[in-house]
Order: sequence, then structure tokens, then C-alpha cells
Amino acid sequence: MTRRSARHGSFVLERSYRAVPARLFAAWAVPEQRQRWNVHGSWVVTEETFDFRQGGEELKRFGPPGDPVHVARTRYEDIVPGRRIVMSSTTRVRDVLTSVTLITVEIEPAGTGSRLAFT
Amino acid sequence: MSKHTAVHGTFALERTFPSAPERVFQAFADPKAKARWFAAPADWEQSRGKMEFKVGGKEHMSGAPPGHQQHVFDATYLDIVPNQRIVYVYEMHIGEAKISVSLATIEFKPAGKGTKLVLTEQGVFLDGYDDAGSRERGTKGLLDQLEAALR
Repeated sequence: MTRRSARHGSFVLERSYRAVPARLFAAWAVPEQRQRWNVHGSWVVTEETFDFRQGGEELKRFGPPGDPVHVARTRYEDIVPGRRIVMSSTTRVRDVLTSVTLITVEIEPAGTGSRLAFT
Repeated sequence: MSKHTAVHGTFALERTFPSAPERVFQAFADPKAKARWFAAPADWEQSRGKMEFKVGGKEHMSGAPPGHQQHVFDATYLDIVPNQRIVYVYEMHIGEAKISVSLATIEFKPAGKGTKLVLTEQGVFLDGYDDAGSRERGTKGLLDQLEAALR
């Protein structure tokens, strides 16, 4: 029998951006804009669906070039345009479930730019 | 502008039951067994939707305290390992307002002849809804009802 375990963790990231909240929100909401940043370093995305609406579900297959073994499935639980996105996401590596996360993105105006909190 | 707030909270509850993990798991997996304990207080008017206990499946419940707005529970199962683990995400609404989104993980571990259950909830409370620990208290109450149902 495979060993089953669950470890729980939480973290919060905060960033300030020069872009106004509407522009920052669009970087999540608009597929072409999200594709510009949503994979890190030299990794590639080989399959991606978009369904940015409350209750919408998306799939993203990604990983190192030639070996895209990660599959993330995301479901949008709450969307407040320009202000907030709440989503749940499962990540599988070679078909093994490795994590289930609840993500809240909050966007606030800060001066002429925005402050973003990612929990 | 301050209307759209988000307050984050996590709690974990542990209980040990004399029943075996298979039986405790069954109390979550079988709609009839679950209905015996996963329920609003007796004086609430409540209704229960179809429960689909499978990955990607949904569960829906609603109820209202006498003279108050409807409370709605909407869950989606994200991971199920028979007799060992259940992970689901759920939203709560009161009336028209979405008050919270939570990730719940329930682990079932053998403990002697019985079962140690660990329930962890990582939640976000929205738009000024002040939870003040009531979700944790409410969940403890549900586990009390589960304990009684397993007897």
C-alpha cells in the first residue's frame, strides 16, 4: 500500500506594483496576459485551458522542457473584478496528487499603483 | 473600497473514536450515514441536495434558523483516499452574500482498535463577515454529533 500522509501549510506573499489595480487584475483574468508570466524560468506550458469565471475550471500541464509532468487543475470560487480572486487548485506530478491549495489574491490601490497579497 | 475584505484563518480539530477507520470513513462517504450527523440544528428548516462522493463531485445543503436568512453549504470533493483521507473545498453563503471559502482536509488514522480523526480547515472569510471562531465552534458541534451517531 502506498504511504498516505498530509501536511498543512500556509504562506502569504505581498508585493507592490506600479500598475493600477485594473491592470494587475487583468494579468490574471485575460488569458494572453496570464500566459506572459504564469510559468517560471525555463519551464514550459504544453496544455492550458482558460475559464475565468466563478465556478470555472482550468487545466494547466507544465514542467521542464520535454518533461511536462505537472498538471494543475484550478477552480474559481470567488471573483470580485479588480479586487479579489479565490481559487482552489490541485497539483499532480506524474498522476500522483501532491497538493491541494486554497489561494486568495487580494488587490488594493496603493498610491498610483497596487498592492497585492497572495495567501 | 474597504467592502471587499478577506480574513484568513486555520484551525485543526482532533478526535478519537472507538470505531474502526472504515466505519468512521463510512460516516462521511455514505449519504444516509452522513445525514445522521452532518445537519443543522433541529429547529432549522433545511434541505439537502444530492451528494456525489467522488473526486470532482458536489454536495449541497441549505437551511435557515427560524426567521433568518438561508445558510448555504456548497462543496466540491478534491481528493478521496478510502478509509484514510478526504479533501474538499466549500463555500458558505448567508442570503445573497458569500461569507467564506474553505479547504477542509479530514484524515482517518488507526488508533488501537479505534480511529483518530484530524480535521483541518484553512479558510478565508469575506467582506466583513466576522467569524470570531464560530466556524470552529460549529465544526466541534458537528463532531459531537458524529460521535453520537457512531455510538
